[in-house]
Amino acid sequence: MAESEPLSRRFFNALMGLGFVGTLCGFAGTALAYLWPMPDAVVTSEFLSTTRGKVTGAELGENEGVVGRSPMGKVLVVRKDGALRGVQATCTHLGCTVAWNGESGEIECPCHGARYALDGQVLKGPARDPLAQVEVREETEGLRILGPVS
Amino acid sequence: MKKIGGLLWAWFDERLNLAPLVAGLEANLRKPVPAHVNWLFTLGSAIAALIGLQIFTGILLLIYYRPGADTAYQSIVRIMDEVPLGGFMRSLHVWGADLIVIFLILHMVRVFVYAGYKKPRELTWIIGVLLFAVILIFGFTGYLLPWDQLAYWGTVVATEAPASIPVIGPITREFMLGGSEVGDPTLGRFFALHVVVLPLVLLKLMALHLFLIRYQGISSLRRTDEPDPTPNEIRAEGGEPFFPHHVLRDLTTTYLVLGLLVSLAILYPAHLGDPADPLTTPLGIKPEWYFLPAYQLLKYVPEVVGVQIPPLFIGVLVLLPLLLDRSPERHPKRRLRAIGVGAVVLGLIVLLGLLGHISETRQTIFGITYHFDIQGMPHGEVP
Repeated sequence: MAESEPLSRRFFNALMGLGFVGTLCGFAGTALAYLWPMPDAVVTSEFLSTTRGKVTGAELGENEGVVGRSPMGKVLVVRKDGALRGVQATCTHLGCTVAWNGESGEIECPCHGARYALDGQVLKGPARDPLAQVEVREETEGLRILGPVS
Repeated sequence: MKKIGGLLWAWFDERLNLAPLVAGLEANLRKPVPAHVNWLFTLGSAIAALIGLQIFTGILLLIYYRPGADTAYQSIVRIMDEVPLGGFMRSLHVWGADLIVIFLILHMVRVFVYAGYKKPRELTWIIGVLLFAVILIFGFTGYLLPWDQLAYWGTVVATEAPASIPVIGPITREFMLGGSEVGDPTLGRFFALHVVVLPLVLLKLMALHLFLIRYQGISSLRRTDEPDPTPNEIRAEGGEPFFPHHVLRDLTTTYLVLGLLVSLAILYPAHLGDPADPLTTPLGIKPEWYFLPAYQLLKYVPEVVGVQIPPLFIGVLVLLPLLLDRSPERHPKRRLRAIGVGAVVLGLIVLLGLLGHISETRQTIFGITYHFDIQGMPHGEVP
């Protein structure tokens, strides 16, 4: 029976190096998985809600707006001329939450002064993209967010 | 007492052979500093003392601080209202952070003017620039921890900007935040970075920085292609020993800075706004003063360009001694062009910061009220 070839020093070192790199990659991968962004807390209720609970139609007077959470994220709902209008409430510039200004009749971002029309179109920069429109229906239980305006 | 000390010394020396080490340290302390070294060369020691104090106040704040979207704000309220001297402790920490950045900038300007970054001290400078970047990340991560409106929305705006970089931008942002918006996972990440990761990095870099300074000695004003002066030459030119002469100057500056810090903490206690509300953005959201130049820059150039300029600036500082300023001159009088360029760059940064500070405010100047728009441009209003 032939004797097996002894491992060369070079091969042994390469093997050790590979093992070390593999160990490092294993730890790095584990850490990466641990730090991977978690899915957002799911808002199950289809009704617009704030920290105080569901927003009802009675709370929203004429020419008033309210920002709440919904399955579509943060949504601004405004009552104008009796009708409810909804848009995404996150400014497309740098992510601040927009608010309804009843005096000017425009949606405004308090961070950098971007202004939008009630249909979400940009009236003044620095925002470049419009706010997506959202369909809202008033029900006895609250303001139901139906989804994007098709 | 002396006998006990002697016995202890003998015990350790027998095991560790300390005598050569102590002799080396003594020789290093006696090494003279060049004659041009003045009070401006004590800023680094003041920064080290301030960092030490930040660690001290930070540990004390940690005892009562509770990271978490539901607990952070209340724990800060408790520190300020219930814990004895808690408000003062927090003010020392907040003002300490500001003073570190101020003295760090002054220290870097001093090193630039005296060309302390040139061969053979490039590594000391590069580590110093990395320390500057670490300090800025300290400020950025610490800003969110009180979880008040300003902290929350300042972080929203600051983390939204990098998302504009194509491809890697959105995933980088989401990774930084731990989700799609600033929330509990963000606070956890920033907290871990602020209290564990960054202090470890900072202390290691500081140790290396200080070692290199003591090992290589303070730079002379000779050209880099001339040999450094020997200790005897430095003494002959009027240089004084590092210990005790320069150490005394260091201590004096350190005490003056500590006095300034305590005075600021007492006279202008740290503020805490309303608790963070992700559904309502308040008016006048602005970052910490040292991020104002970057914040204002984003208003003039597209975000995708603007967010890359601050890291590029840090890169330029790193490359300064390696590629950008390789002239052999060290004396400030023979480097007027380099100092002029540096002054213009610093002036631009200060101008951007001032515009950022004044933008979106109303100021009354000589009886006339001006509204400064988003770009910092004044518009006169009826008095």
